[in-house]
Amino acid sequence: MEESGPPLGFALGPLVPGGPEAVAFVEAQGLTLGLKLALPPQCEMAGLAPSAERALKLLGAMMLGLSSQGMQVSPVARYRGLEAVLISAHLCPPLRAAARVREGFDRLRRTAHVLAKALQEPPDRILTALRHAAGVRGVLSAAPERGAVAAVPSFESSGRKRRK
Amino acid sequence: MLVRVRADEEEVLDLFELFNAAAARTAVQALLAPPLHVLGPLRLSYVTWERAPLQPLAPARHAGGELLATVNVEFHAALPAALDVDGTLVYYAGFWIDAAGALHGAVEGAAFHFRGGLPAGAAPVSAALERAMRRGLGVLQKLLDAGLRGFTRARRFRSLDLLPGRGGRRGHRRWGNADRQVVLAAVPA
Repeated sequence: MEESGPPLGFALGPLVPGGPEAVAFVEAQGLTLGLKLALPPQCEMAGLAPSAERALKLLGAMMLGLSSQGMQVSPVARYRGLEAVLISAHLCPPLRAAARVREGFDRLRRTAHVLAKALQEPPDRILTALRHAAGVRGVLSAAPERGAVAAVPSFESSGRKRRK
Repeated sequence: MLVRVRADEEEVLDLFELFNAAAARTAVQALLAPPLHVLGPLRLSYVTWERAPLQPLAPARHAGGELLATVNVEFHAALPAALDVDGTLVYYAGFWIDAAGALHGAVEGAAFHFRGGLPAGAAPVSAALERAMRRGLGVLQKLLDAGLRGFTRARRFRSLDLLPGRGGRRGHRRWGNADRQVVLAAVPA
């Protein structure tokens, strides 16, 4: 790859109006799809140097969970520091079916959606939120029919007794 | 300092014992096919709904401060080329007393995450974990139903709580380990 220069990149614009920008890189060994998730202004990472200890810690919180799903996260920074994170996934050849690309972008979009919410959390909660958003996969069972609830275990006195 | 005054007639259901009984351990281990296996005893804890990773899936299901018991299954998978992974599969159980005073419990969801090893090599076990997570909802519900039947004996209750440790009282050397043991404490009506 070094001999042939950098991979051919395509800026595809947002997949949905107002959503993160999509990019694709064509390489000899397949296709890398990515979504560039802009950091909200209140995000603790925004403006930090990509090598700052806190930035690396937050990126690491995302990396562990995303890599278990075959995705990666990369910092995007310019002279004003970090401004976005790139969530990416690699597709190996053969790439004959367009559905694989759509499916890849769908996976990225779902992950970007939960990460975007986590990136808005305040500094005391962002680390846990990112870890959960990137790596926790969960399922809810059907809500039990609780009828009129007289008491629940709770830390809040207002929540201890309630009627539905 | 937070002090809780417990009613004299309060009774406890030890959730650690319930989910670590031999039959329960066998049922949980059966959820995970090799190369996945369960590490150590199941760890019991609790979490408020607002802090549960399932909360974003249905934020209005519970009040933010409502406590759910968690059944934590630590798993390990030995993969080829030493690409081992570790993680935790967590089941969430809610408890409530209805208007008639009956005590209920329900396994309301589950989640898993990797926390060690080389998660990039975890794709082969992710599908198996997804299946185990879904099948386990019914398995743990049966265990919980059986435990609650034995505990309530069709009685009515007026309050309930989740307490760390084994719910021991002064004079009884049975404090337990608050890091991995939780009891359901309920006061009969």
